[in-house]
Amino acid sequence: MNKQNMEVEQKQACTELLQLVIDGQATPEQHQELEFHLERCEDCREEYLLSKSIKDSLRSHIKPNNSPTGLANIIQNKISETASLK
Amino acid sequence: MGERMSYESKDKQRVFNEEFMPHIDAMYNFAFRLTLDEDDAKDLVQETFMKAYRFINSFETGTNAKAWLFRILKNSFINNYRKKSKQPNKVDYQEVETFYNSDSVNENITTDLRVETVQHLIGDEITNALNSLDVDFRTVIILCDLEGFTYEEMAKILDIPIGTVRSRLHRARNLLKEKLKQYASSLGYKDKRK
Repeated sequence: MNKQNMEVEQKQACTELLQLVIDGQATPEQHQELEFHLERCEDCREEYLLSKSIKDSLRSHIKPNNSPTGLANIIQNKISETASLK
Repeated sequence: MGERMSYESKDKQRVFNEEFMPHIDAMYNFAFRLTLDEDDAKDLVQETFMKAYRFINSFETGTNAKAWLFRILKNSFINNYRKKSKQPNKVDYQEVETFYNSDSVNENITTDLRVETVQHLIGDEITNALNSLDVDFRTVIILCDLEGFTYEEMAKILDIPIGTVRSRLHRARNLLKEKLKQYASSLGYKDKRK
């Protein structure tokens, strides 16, 4: 395998690891592995911080709304009607 | 393990009220983020709950009701709204599935978008960027980042393998970064690093 292919493989592995950690689905070992790598790789460190800030922004800016007033009642009435037809 | 059973009519309504109705707000939010229309979202939620009631015997008590409902909603959305939409499905799956190839990992998107820039963006800009993504890409970001589903749950909701969930999510995030970068430059945020 040439050097360029090795770099590509390394980058893929980092991308996958980074995603797992950002999404809270990494094992403790994978966490450690990423931490170890981030101390040595500036590109991945920037990528990590950027991805994390985008995820945080999505969560803080796009707040869930309540469902419209009356929707729950409409649904429950329909269900009661359906149930009483049986 | 969950238990699958045939419910009596009275139990059906109890299960429906206890297990399904608490998710109505999450369902409405998901429906709205898919349809981007309040009336369509309301219709979609109603349809989903009616289907959930009709197929309640295939719901296993003790399993994840929210994921089960999301799956029904997503399928209803695909059946109703995507068919109606004149817009062709823009997702190029070939492109999605092969994100681990050398071209996409070498995409150097991050160098021109800075953490500080992202932090300066306001809610409307973030929302618009998300909404501008094709619905398949938007969906994985909604499910993962806003609803907090695991990859495994997402795979079940979307009927796709976990590997595809992860590659689609990666691609979706790169597209979102591109959009955010465009917003940032159109709003005149300057990248300090030149």
